[in-house]
Amino acid sequence: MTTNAPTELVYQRPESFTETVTHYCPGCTHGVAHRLVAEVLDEMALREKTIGVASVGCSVFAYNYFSCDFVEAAHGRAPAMATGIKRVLPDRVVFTYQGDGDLASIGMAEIVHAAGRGENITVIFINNANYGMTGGQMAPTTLPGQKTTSSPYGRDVEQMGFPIRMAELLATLDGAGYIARRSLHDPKNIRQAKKAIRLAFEAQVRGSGFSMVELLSTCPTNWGMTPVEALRWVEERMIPAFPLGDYKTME
Amino acid sequence: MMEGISYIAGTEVPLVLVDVMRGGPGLGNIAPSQGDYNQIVHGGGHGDYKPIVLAPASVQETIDFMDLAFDLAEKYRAIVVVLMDGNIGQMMEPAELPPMRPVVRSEPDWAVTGAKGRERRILSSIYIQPEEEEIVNIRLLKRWNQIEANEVRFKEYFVDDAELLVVGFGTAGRISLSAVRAAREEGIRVGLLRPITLSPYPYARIRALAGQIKGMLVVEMNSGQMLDDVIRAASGRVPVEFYGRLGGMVPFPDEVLEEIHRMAAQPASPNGNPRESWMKRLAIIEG
Repeated sequence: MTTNAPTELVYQRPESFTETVTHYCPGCTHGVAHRLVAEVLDEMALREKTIGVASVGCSVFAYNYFSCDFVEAAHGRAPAMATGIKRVLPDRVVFTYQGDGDLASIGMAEIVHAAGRGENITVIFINNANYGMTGGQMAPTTLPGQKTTSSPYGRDVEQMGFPIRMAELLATLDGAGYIARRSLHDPKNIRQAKKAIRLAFEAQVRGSGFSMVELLSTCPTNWGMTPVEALRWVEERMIPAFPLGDYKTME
Repeated sequence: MMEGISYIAGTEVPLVLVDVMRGGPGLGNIAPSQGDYNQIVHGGGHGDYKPIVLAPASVQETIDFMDLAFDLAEKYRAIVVVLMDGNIGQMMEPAELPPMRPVVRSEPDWAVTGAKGRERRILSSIYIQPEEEEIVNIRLLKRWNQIEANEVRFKEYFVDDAELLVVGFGTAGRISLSAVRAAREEGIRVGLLRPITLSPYPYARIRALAGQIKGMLVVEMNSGQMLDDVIRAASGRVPVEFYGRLGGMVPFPDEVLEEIHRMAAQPASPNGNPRESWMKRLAIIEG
């Protein structure tokens, strides 16, 4: 066995990532989503000119994991904050990282108008069909029949309405330059998610307007599932309700 | 709105805000009012913080204070509210624009601009550990003590030999000045103090004047919100009386002059309840 053979580095911590012990639950895909964003920032050499905007929810501490500048927004207001930063510093790259409780509920007005105005920002949208941090309550993205702590008998659409499909909704707006939905439930889809995240940041760098990647994600703790069951649930239950695909692309 | 202001206070980002007060609560109306005094000066978002509050009484002062507001906000990483009423907000009058200053683009050592060639910076107002939050609160408080020591501003009119003092801010202060001038022509020794900074409040100056006068009259376009600050400053040394109009109503100088006449003839007792006695007089207005 030789000890001085040349080595090829095949995997390492992205420069845009900090060395931080994760606070996310086992089996949660926030870590995967974080890493994909960090890898894209590295590959596009954007770390030093990027400002991230954290939201409220489990990812409230997103800034602990990224080695770029970060600000923390009030619940749902990340797109408004990102708008301000990007307009003051138009040559920087600005992204928000928001969950569904943040983006699709209290932050509905901010996200719709940021997209409508065509703000040149990138949104990473984590859709895990519930409010994770606060204990698994029903979110605007909760599936019909899905049991949550605030819909213990399952979401009854007669009383509680229907899930909101954000990618489809925002894609109707002329200000949106790139809107896609991907899933993080297996390696193939994770690779496709990364490509979409890269396209979204490229859209911003080109100045193509608002870009968003919705990522179907797991919440095994609040779903009451093992990590493997949670991944399967994304594939079998969430994807039919939230079809993957590109909803808006530039010519 | 208050949630955002609280976040900005906690994040220690400079902010200039203009609040043009109108009749309320609720949808109310768009007539001039001073009903937001407590909301802005003493209240606001959750948590322990204080904004600097500037109260212009003319278009000219609005222009001048805007400049000052930005300087103070940046100097102290503070929230500065320019608090005016719908009268000043909708009024046209001659004013002189000051010479424009070049905008100095500075990058303070806390600004998030991209971590190029330096450690990353994070702007956040979250302090999960109460021990850390307490340290932040103490830092904000120390900064506030500096503001209180250096930034109290007010304007005085005819106070040198005054036996009566009217206190009013913004439009109520300006209307009161007309009444004070009229009273002076009649030989009544009355002066006016018009606070420019409602926060920090000129407590010390009002306390000092309380030693030389026989009575104070607070005039506001609300139910006596600043009145409580004047009572606090006067510390029971002199009788304090109140006159207010509500709901978007603006007092005429004659109404204030009538109050001055009444006080000059017979000052109230320092132990009286100024709001209660005003309500009784208000019933006469209604009748």
